[in-house]
Amino acid sequence: MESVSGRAVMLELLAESDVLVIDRAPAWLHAHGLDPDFLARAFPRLVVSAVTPFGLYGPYADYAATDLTICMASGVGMAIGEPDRAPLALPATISSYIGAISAAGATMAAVLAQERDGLGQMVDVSVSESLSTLLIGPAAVRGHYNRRARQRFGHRVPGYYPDTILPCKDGFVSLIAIEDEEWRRFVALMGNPEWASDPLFAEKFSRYSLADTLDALIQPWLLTQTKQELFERCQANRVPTAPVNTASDVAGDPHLQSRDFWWTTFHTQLGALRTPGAPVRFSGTPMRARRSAPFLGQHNLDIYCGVLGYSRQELGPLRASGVI
Amino acid sequence: MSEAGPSRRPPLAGVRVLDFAWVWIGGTLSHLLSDFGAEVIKVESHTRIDLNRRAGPFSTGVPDEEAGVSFHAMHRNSLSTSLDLKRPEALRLVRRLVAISDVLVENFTPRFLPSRGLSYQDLRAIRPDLIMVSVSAAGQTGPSRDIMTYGPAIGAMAGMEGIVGYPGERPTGSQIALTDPTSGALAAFAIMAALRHRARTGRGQHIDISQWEAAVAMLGAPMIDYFLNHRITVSSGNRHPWMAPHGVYRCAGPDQWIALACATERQWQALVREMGSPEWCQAAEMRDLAGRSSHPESLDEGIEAWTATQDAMELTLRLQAAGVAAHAAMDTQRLIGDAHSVARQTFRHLDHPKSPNGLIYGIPWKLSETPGQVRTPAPFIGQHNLQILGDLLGASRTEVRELEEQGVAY
Repeated sequence: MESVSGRAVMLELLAESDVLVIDRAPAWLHAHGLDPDFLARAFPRLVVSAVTPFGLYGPYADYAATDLTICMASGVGMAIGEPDRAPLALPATISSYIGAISAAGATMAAVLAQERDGLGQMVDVSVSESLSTLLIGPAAVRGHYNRRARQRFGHRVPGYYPDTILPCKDGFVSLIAIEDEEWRRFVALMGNPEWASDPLFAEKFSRYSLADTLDALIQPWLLTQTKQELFERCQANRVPTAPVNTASDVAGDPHLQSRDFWWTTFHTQLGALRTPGAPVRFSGTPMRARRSAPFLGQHNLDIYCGVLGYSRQELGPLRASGVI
Repeated sequence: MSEAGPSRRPPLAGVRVLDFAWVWIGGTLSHLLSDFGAEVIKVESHTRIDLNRRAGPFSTGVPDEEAGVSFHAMHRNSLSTSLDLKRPEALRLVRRLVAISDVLVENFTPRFLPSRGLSYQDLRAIRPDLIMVSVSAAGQTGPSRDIMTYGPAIGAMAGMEGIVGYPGERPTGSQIALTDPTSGALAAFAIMAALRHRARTGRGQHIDISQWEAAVAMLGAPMIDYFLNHRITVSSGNRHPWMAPHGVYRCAGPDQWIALACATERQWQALVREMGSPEWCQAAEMRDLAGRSSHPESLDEGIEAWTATQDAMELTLRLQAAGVAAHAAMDTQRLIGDAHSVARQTFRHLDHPKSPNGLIYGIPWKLSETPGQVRTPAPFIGQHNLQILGDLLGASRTEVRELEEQGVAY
């Protein structure tokens, strides 16, 4: 793309494409002659799907960014972590992944309109804005009416109790027993300890104001059991508690295995590679892993000769000059 | 991106969605489809109130299931019909609605709809090309399909909550139940993919979304690290495997922070220059990425000593000008009023009978030629009974009133 003929080849490819997915900031697009106005004029049927940290317009559109800075800019980070300590970003590359889900939906909307009207358009999805609306939008709206920003609450969901992460014998559990009947069933599971009859603990909101005390009272009982034991006993008693799983727990989980969740693809260098499978199960058009991730340029021949009709002789100079 | 008079019809114009989904999944799915032209009919009832209607604060200042501000935000553009699914007559009406709908979405536990004679097989007999989406904690099949959960528990089971925390400490979890809105967004995507398939083949289908699986799918890197290297990812705070510095640093003022990350040596050098090339940066262990990565405490300490006296927003501008990826950590109040949010209408206002000029969040997808539209405020429960049971199903005004009096529509 950095060379003149690279751009020419790319324009040829765009003429054959339904959707262009691009992740570059607006300044880059302009510098490379790929600004939205040009693309719309040159390729009226093309859906151009730009998924960028801050979107194609607005004062931060050209800001340099990583998952970390996007998560903090979006308002999400300030809701994660302990109140008096640094806000925490979403782990791994979850922020980007959510931006990608968002962009996939936006792109499908444009593709439906494209197939109906025979016309493309510009799709502008900001990863940061996707997080600001989808993930933290409702909390931001509530905070606006409360005149207070969404705070950080450490290991608890705020407002009611218990919806919290606590240690158990072999790790941690996500202990949830919010509604009256859930709490009563949980107290019965613990063997109806004396302290639980205190009327101060009868109601979910008042329990929250005593959360530190309750953590300390519940803790000894949790520490006698593994997360799997707690999960099974709680679920058997309709208490919505779950284990805080590690990657190894997830990999070995019998439920995920029974649904054939994991995919195996064959990678030339790594061999059989197990990965998470489809996030959505379509009964009529199931998602499949048809091949593993490609090497850089692995399909050049298929694309330039197969799609664009170049001869192998024409490919040589393009390779030699570094265009491809 | 003007919303006035788009020349092309909305992408989902003419698509009718029967919406049984509730709380955050339901709300997200509902507006992503209705913003882009779908007619979304929320089927709800006073006998089973959407918890989102009960969530405060309320625009009226007092508990009122028609005044929940987050319900107002999520359910803009939807219609509401009130049907009590415990009443056989209501189930008959649901079947008639299915016959004239394109899509049905639900997030009941997997046994509920089949127990009411409303399984996908049952409904397909009424509407052969129906697209039905079922979102549940663990999916429609498998030994754990009946588990009872809330959003945070699903993130915990997926291995997500356990890797959020400060380095070397117990996990805090994100505690934001992100598997709910992300499942809603995935469902919106899946519905559109299925609509495209239907347009080409005439066939509908059943879409099974396990929130648990959808959450694990977000964790590709930690899972592959486990499968290939037998490494178990643990919480590492804001640190990164191949960027250093990579953190969130205290700035001047209460709870003010800046996030910054250097992916390249050039960005690190730019940061060092901006900091005034302090002596600690010249130490041998700070010279390259490997050194900085293995001394994260002294690196973070040095940077924070510099950021702690500065304004987070001003510092953002300065570091961006120097080419360093940096951004002030925005709290939600600052976010709403921020210039970038305003420019993109990330938040906007909408008149609701109970909330004049109420605040809602905006449309995340900006489509140049078929922009999303916020047309109508969130409905009251059963507000559109006359339109839906009357105009669509052919009941007379008197019959609709009778249904309401008998509690079928309640």
